[in-house]
Amino acid sequence: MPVVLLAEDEPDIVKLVTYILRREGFSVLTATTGGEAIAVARRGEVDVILLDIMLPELDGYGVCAALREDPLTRHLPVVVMSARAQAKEVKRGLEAGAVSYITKPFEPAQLTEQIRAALAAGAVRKAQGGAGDDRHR
Amino acid sequence: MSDLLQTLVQAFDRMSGAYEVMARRLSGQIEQLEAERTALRGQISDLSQQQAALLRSNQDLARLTADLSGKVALLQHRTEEVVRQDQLKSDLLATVSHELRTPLTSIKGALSVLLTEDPPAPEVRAEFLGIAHQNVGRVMRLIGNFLNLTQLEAGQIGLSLRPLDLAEVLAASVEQVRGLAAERRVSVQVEPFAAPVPLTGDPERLESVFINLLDNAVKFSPEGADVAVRVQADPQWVTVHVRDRGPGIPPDEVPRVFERFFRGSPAVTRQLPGSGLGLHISKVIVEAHGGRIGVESRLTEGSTFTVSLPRGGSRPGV
Repeated sequence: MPVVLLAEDEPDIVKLVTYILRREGFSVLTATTGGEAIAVARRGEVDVILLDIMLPELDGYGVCAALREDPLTRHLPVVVMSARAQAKEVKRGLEAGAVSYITKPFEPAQLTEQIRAALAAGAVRKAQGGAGDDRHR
Repeated sequence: MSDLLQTLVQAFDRMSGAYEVMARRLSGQIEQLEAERTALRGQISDLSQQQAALLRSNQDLARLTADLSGKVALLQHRTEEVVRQDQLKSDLLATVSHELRTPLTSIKGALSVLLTEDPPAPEVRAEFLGIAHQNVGRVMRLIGNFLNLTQLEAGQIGLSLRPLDLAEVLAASVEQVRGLAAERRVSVQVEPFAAPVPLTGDPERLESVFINLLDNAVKFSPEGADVAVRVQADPQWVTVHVRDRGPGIPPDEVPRVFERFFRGSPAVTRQLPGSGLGLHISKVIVEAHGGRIGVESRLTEGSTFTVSLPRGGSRPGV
């Protein structure tokens, strides 16, 4: 069962997304701050991260940067899910290393589709050497 | 002897002739010097006149420079103000967009689940309908605040004053935040008071004031804490206190909490929804009623917001 780490601080959205993902056959871990998200990701059980941008303490961009720097988490695909919908914000999220960017509100089907696509991308990355730094070659 | 005398007389004559010549020459020179002196005096007075004129134009220039730099500063100030307003507007737009999208995400998510499960389990149904209902309330409060703000900006607060019972307005306001309070496990306690509390005012506007205060109090409360509402009435005034056990407001931020778009330090408000409008709108509404709104706060202990309203409502021209 693929494990999704949901990093989100709105309690209602945590409940809903957890419910939807479990119903679609994912296992879900949650974090409500940026620091907690990084700590959970480092434990090695996570396959994909669904990341909100407006997180307390360390925001989503900061989380992305920290994940990319750490060999333990570098390969993890990140899907950003944010209420920030301006083009420049989407661009910034993708530049920070997210594989895709979903703007809130979203369709549950869109969510699971993006997560499956991210998991596939993550598997390819892992097969290529796991470092996930092939874009720098 | 006479020869000697003769020689002396002749010598004397020659000398006196020479003296005369010298005296004439000298007096000529003196006259010339006098003339030169007069000319120099004239030049000196010309020069000092010119100097005075220069001094005057120098002063004029200094004044002009001061004037100009004053104008430059003013222009710079206005430019900064325009830039600030522009920034404020785009911040507001980003805030509104975020504040609307977040509850809409919950509503859409909850409804999608309910629509796709046939039939959803009863506890799922109850929980997700509750989430949708709660977030519709949040969207409505936000829109209500924006409508109020637009009317306030246009200078048309337009109170519709009528006799009302403040106890009813308060009860309705508390009802509006019950859902949020339950979600955050915060209890809202209204201390018993002698109802009804008749006064003249705009019930809808006053309700939005109390909803804003209660919404803030619940939002900033730690889990399990209580929010206390206390009513004091005398023949002229009614005062409502809303007390929370939240983080409190830093002293330097207290004077600013009623400013439009003011939001507390990110450390405190980052994870909380809010547009920075509620307290500003509340203040305008309370003052339009001829009342007062204020806050007392202690860091780490909590805040008490106080609204005082005259029982006769606002008087024209007051």
